[in-house]
Amino acid sequence: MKKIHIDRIKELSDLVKLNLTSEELKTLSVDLNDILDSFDKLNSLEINVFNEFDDDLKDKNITRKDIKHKSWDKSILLSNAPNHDGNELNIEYVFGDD
Amino acid sequence: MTDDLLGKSIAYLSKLLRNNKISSVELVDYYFDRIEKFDKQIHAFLCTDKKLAMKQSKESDNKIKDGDQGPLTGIPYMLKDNICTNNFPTTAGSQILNDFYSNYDATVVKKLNIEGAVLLGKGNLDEFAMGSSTENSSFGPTKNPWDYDYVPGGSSGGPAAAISAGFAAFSLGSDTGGSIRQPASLCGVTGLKPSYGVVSRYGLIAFGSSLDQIGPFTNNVEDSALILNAIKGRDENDPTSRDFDKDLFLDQIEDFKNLKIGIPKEYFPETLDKEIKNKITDVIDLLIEHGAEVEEVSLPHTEYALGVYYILAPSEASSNLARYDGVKYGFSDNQVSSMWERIENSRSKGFGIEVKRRIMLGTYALSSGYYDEYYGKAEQVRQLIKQELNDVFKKVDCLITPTSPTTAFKLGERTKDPMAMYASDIMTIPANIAGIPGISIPGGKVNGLPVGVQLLGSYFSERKLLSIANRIQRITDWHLDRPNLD
Repeated sequence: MKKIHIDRIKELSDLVKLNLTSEELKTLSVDLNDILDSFDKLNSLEINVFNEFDDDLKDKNITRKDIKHKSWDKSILLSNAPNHDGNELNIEYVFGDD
Repeated sequence: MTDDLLGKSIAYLSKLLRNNKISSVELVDYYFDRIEKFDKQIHAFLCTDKKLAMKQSKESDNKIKDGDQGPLTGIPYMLKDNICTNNFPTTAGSQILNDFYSNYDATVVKKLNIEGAVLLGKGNLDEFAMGSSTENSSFGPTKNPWDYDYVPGGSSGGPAAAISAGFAAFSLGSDTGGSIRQPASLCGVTGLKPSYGVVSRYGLIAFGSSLDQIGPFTNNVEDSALILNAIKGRDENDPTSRDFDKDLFLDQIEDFKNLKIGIPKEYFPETLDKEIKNKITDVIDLLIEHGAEVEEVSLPHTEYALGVYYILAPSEASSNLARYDGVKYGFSDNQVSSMWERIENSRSKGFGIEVKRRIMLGTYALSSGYYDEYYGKAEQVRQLIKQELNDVFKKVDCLITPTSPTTAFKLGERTKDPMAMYASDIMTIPANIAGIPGISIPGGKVNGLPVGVQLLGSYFSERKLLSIANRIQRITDWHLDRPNLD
């Protein structure tokens, strides 16, 4: 039995913002089902003891001190953006047409 | 300049520099001659910058002249192109980052800059390090220097092929499921994946954040230790990085007495190529001959490692790759009328099919109703695999296995079968799942193609692991073998 249907793949692709071609949908439908079938082995495994937060080094949480420091210059942050006016990112309308 | 420098160690090159027998500028010239002559066929580099390399090498020559020489001063190297650099583009092998320039150098690059190492260029890889053959690169595959009809392995195929072909003295790659060790094996060079946390990943383009680790490709184990010394250590920009031994040095082991080597039987299945098995057995016999105690051990959960990896890594990747939206940086499709359309079109045109496959797989594994069945279960089995390895390292000093179940395969042979491609990493994945160190060293050839021997050690046992691997190279000469490119 198929674990994941082509309709579900389409739904997921919408979620992750991938506009898959019909060819890609067909290929992924086969591939994903093959891959998911191979995971059945994991679910056949009975796990009795499970230490969720196993930590070999018994580390304490490592965080850096909360020190104020100068952030990146805006022009540097925007330098790789495809559309910007030097001060902010330009994007198309998010809601509606205009 | 002759080919006398081919495959020479960093210590040897450093001595030549110190004694004024050669300059760093001449070394850069030597490597660029080889690159210009042979890389058209091999395609190990995605980009080079001779002018910049010359500038760096002149600075290093001045340092050497002033008596300020470290072990890597003036030594030319290559970086996998998923490690961010200020002066070179960083593409991660993907169209979505074509022409992307990072605003900063990765911590490993900063460290190598301080050492005075000279960057020649960036190496080819499977897109976002997802693959085992470098065929998933958006910029065309790399070929194996031993035979151009064969893959170099992946995902760090460019950096592995570069060392095999003598294009640089060392290179850096990243290893999420075997992406250093497997190509090292297929190209006949030494490749080290350090323990998780030994090397900062700040500036490494994230794939599977709980698995990724940066490590070196070198001509021998001594060089690997040198590079690890230079790039290891705590970095406040990577909270997973840790302090490591101040100076990692190799113990000069005279023999293998007092060493217990484990042979995990699950890594030697009936289906394993007999000739590869024989090569690994040759090494085991050598260890016994030199005094090692060898014991067969069992790691019964190894068979689940591949499944665990292909849930965890795509899940983490699906989250990490959400940042590529065509808005902030990278490829952006301009023929759109809304922001959503821009994001969707940019991602759809910018990502290749393997990346899409893993994003979809990861999103499915993390989706409501399936999280416990897939991701939750995989995390549980991961703990079992870790525990099993921890237990076995209480009994043995290291494990010896093949690095890859096969030698290099032909270009195109596995591209239509993702499961066959994924199985290429079956021997290397457990080390990433457990976070332990692993090294692949050359162990001879089968039908003219290199075979890799993998040594695995307990968490943070790099010194012991490298010392053992170094001793093996001192009594063998497989690591000196280089392909004839002419």
